[in-house]
Amino acid sequence: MNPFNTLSALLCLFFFSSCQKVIDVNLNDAQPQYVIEAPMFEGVHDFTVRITKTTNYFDTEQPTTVDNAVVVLKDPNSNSVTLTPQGNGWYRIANFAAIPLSSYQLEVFVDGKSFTANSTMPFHTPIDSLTTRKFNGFGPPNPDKGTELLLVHLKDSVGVKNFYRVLITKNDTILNKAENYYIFDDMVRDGLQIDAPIFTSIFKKGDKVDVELLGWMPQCTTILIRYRKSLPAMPIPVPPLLIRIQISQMEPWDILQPIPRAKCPLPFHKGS
Amino acid sequence: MCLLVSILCLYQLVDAQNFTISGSIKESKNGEDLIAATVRVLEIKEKGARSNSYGFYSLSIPKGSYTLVYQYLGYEKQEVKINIDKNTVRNIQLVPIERTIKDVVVKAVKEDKNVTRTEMGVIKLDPKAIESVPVLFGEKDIIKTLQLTPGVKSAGEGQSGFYVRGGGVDQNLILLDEAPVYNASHLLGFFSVFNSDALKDVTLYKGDIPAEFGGRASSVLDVKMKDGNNKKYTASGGIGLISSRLTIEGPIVKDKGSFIISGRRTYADLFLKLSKDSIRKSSRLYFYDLNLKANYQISKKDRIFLSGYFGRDILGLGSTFGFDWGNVTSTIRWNHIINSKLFSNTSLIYSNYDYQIKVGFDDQSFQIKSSIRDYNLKQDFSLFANSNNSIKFGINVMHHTFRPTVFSGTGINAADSLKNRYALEGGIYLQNEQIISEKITVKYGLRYSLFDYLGPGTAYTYDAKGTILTKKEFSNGETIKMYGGLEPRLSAKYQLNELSSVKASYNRNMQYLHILSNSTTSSPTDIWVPSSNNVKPQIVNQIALGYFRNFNDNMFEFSLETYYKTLANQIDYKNGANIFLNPDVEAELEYGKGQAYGAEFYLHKQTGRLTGWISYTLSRSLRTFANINEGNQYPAKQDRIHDIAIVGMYDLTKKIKVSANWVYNTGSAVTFPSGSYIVDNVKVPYYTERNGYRMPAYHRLDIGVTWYRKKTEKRESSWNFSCYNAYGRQNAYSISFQQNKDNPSKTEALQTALFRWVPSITYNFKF
Repeated sequence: MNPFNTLSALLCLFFFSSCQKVIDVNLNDAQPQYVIEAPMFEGVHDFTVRITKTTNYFDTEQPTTVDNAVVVLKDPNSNSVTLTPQGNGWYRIANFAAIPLSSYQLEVFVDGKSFTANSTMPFHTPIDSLTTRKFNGFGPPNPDKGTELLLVHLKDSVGVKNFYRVLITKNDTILNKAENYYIFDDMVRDGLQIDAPIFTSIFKKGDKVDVELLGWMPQCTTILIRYRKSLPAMPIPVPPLLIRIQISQMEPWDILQPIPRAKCPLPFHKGS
Repeated sequence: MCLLVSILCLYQLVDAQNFTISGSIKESKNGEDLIAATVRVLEIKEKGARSNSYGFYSLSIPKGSYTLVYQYLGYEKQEVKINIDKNTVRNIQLVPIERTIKDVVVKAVKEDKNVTRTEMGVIKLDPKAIESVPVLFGEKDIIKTLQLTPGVKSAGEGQSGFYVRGGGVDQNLILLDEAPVYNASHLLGFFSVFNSDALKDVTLYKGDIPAEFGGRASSVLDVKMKDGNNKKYTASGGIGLISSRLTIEGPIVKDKGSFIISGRRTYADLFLKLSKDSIRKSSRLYFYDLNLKANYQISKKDRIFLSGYFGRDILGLGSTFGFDWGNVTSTIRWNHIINSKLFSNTSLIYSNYDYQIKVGFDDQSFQIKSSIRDYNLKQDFSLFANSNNSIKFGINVMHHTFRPTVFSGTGINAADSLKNRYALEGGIYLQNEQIISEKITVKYGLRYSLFDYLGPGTAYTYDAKGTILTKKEFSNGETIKMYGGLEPRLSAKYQLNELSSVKASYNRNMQYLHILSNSTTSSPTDIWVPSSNNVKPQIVNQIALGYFRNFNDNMFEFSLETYYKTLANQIDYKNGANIFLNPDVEAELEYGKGQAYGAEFYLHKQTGRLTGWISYTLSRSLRTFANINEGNQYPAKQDRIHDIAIVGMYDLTKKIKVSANWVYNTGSAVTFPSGSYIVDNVKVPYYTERNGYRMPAYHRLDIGVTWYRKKTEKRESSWNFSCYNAYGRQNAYSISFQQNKDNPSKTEALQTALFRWVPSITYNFKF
């Protein structure tokens, strides 16, 4: 959250009758580039990789998939496993056992080009608990948006640079739009108790909420995205992922019982 | 220094046959020093002088009887007959011209300084003269008026940040009574920190920057506060929709010392208190300024000044969010007239800018604090060697303390806060303005600047990916990295005839402090960083050539100035850089070069019922970085090819003045996506060229009416009505991209426009 942007928005709201309208912008059509998404989850899961191509910005069609690639995963013992093409851009290793703190290398060969990514699965950080508190958001009150702010409590591991993403399912719908992304790191909080307020989503009483804490490897963004030549100066909410490693699933039903998998009807004020 | 003494002795010898007439030039009504007032000797055409920043002048002429003509724009010309046979002190008080149409037409001094002076690329504003220029919210603002002049561009809609000749916002040295102001904006840029009621003189140097100034690459905005009325007590002020202001000034001892106190505060937050909603009710949203100044004449040769500025913005929402920032500056000055030719000014200057952010709740919150603080000791001399040579020389030493980011609060590891950084910056300079002949005048100067980045601290080096390669600790006072360099300044004027001249200048400026900002204009969270082992000083070389011509007995002033600048060691961000609260922010930077060039056309009607100007700038500002845009040159964000401003003020009757300004500029260079991809079911923009797109062209008309009420001996007042963006154009403040609400697979561009038809009304008074 950038406080400057928040306050700018506030000022506009209070003072200025700003106008918004949809306009036509003539954007260039960039040369299509490969997009490789390879989330890896802790434990035994299917490891899947999807390869697509970038599209023109305003295109509404699904991206072109790439099915002629060779995708190879090297495990910590340098054993190479070639993923099996599944069609529609998907490649898979069934029942792959991913181990925390182990390093993996992904190689992709396609159309005479090769891409390589190295990543170490981050330290497992569990969610300690969830709480809520009354909050009206930054701006004028809007009952339709809700009044309950969710806080995720966790204990950060000492000496490890951690990046977290909170993935929320609200009333059985994953909040997976760009504006719902909530990503933070342990800067100035290394090894401490972190009580992260999730300002990106405000809830109403009675909402069911499922929270997952995902760990990110920041170096993923610099290896597999090397074909991205230029980004704007301003930080943008680009999710820093191509290898996504789920290091922790919330298991707090002992705290927020009796809802399985933390699908909690609000209010859940325990601890607040 | 030996060279300097030799030069001084030489001038003394050469000038031994002349006598000196010196003194001060002040305004008759309030005793304010008049800066850059001129003195001419009627009988000797090339003999003349100009008062310095403290109203002091000195002129050397041979024995004889002469007529001296003292004049200053907006004041009655004064002729003094004098018989010179010894060094003489003559203090002058000029009478301001009363503001009636008749007087303005008949008596106004029509200055030809545009043509006769050596300086070029200089804009001088009289804060009184801008009262009727319509501006946003009716708040007269020197910076927004400067943005209507050639070569100066607004950083955005309603913003007080500005770009000068293709340079960045941080390349402007903004001085208030010699103290640097690090963030000259209020309310996120919509107001400047300068309360015009407290100001006496505003000068912007776009090029031909005098050698006494250093530290910024593109421009110097030198703002001087009023000294205060040393004749009588007065109060003045204004009541507006957004803010009100009050100024009180008067003598400490009549004709010997005076003071001025000027304050301004916005009051939008008072309206929020009327809200029934508790959040709005507890919101804080205001800023204030307080300007203070006092001066006292200790003896005929000594005068001391004490001035200060305190300003702060306070924003917040209940107890969950707080954000405040502000500047504090103070200056202690001692003027000493060493002899009739040598004037000394010693200044001790303090400046501090800080911001703090609080996020959280009563029981759980954290704060971020950041600041930059300076102590500066400055010694300047003005030597009026003879009527053909005016020499300035001096030295200054400044200590900087940078507090990048300090964290505190619950759940915060304060040890991770960024450590303070320290630096010493100094400069020594010598400059002479020399009249070679009746037609040729040259000004040449040299400044040597030095920057010492000091410990205690840790110096890191990084690889191309931003990974730390080496780390070295430095102890207290130990030099981590030192830079220095010569900064030559040169300008020349050739007088073609009485009405026209050509001028040329060359400047080299070095800048050791750099701003890291994640917004296109100045923002409160901008971080100032010193040059270091990673960040080299910015170096700008500028050459300029200009033609100056006056018409109709100096009623019209025309100039055409062209310039070309090279910019070395420019800073930009790596692709996808994160600078906010980043301890390794230097690893996120790229270094490159730039060039800027342009032509500035300016036609100014100085007198008559209709006054105003037309300004047109045709310019480019380009950057080249090896790792940005695949090494290809790209436009800087301040690159706007066309920039036009038309400003007009018309005396409709003796009591009513109408005014209007119209501006047009090419849209700013921006980066838009040229493609997209899907990751984790989210559409992510794919960027290619940096600043490869343009915002839509910007244009706007502002209109205003000032109604002057009947003036009496004791009281005067006026009403000002204005409308910003009178034809309600929806100028793009930002363009963002979002999913269509009805069809999420479709992405659309959304333009946000801030201000349409912003009316304002202000009541101004003086008694």
